[in-house]
Amino acid sequence: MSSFVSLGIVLLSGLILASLQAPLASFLLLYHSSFGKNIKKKTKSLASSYVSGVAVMVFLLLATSVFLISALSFSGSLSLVSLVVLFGVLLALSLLSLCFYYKFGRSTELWLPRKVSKFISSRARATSDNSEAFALGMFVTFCDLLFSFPLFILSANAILSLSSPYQVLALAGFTILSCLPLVILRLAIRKGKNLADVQRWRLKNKNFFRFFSGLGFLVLAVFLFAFLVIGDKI
Amino acid sequence: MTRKSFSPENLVKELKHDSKSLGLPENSTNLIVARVLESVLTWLENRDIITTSDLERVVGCELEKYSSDLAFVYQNRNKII
Repeated sequence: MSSFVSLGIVLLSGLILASLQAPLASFLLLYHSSFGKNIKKKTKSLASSYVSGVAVMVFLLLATSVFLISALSFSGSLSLVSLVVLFGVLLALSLLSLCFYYKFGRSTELWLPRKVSKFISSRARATSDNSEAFALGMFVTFCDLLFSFPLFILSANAILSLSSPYQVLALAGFTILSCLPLVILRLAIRKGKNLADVQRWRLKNKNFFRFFSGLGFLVLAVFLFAFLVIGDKI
Repeated sequence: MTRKSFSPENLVKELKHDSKSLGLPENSTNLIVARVLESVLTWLENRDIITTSDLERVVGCELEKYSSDLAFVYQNRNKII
């Protein structure tokens, strides 16, 4: 696998991960709830802790995937059979994210079971400490794992084919890319946007996000098939 | 299905919280909350049983008269995640 193909997979996976909405929705709830009861400084500090929690969890999941692949496979990368399975999973996720990532109706409710989404909402409302916000960020990232797990595995496999200095850069790049929407949202709120503005924007662009992540999974599946499954045979 | 009695205090607390979060001035908030509460209590006078969605609809409609942002946030508060 060439470095360009590996970097392409890492970038595309990072972008798809960034398009998943659970961390963004939870961040919005946390910000809104904290703004209503705390001073601005406290809210900013909670928001920073939350983003750090998400970033650390993404980094840890990716690093764990890298470790697992290098430790469990003989060649230090995924076998052809595993890649074909991943191709199938990505195709299925493409369809799932198009049809089921958002619940139907005029809301931005996600696929998460009602108990989990209620738990996240109640935690976001009750959070008053930096460590709680950090843990919430980690938990929400973990909750989206059904959709993000193949992205971590595929990126980890791509990262393993890079040389050592680039591996660290790719790990950092993936983490930064996946946290970018949270940083942008934070900047938007700092510039005066409130929950109503952001939620209206999310509602208006819900179908675009759905389409983007669905197409992203599909493109990644085709990319994987073309460069790693067929490309490996040629 | 669970039954619970309507609590004006909770409604006031919730609206004040949302209002502060949206950055509405405190005086306007107090005025909006008082008027909404008055309308809701009038609406409740002849009713023994109401559903949560009825209450949310009425509060949302009343809020819409004074602040569209506050009404939107109140109506969508459980539909974000």
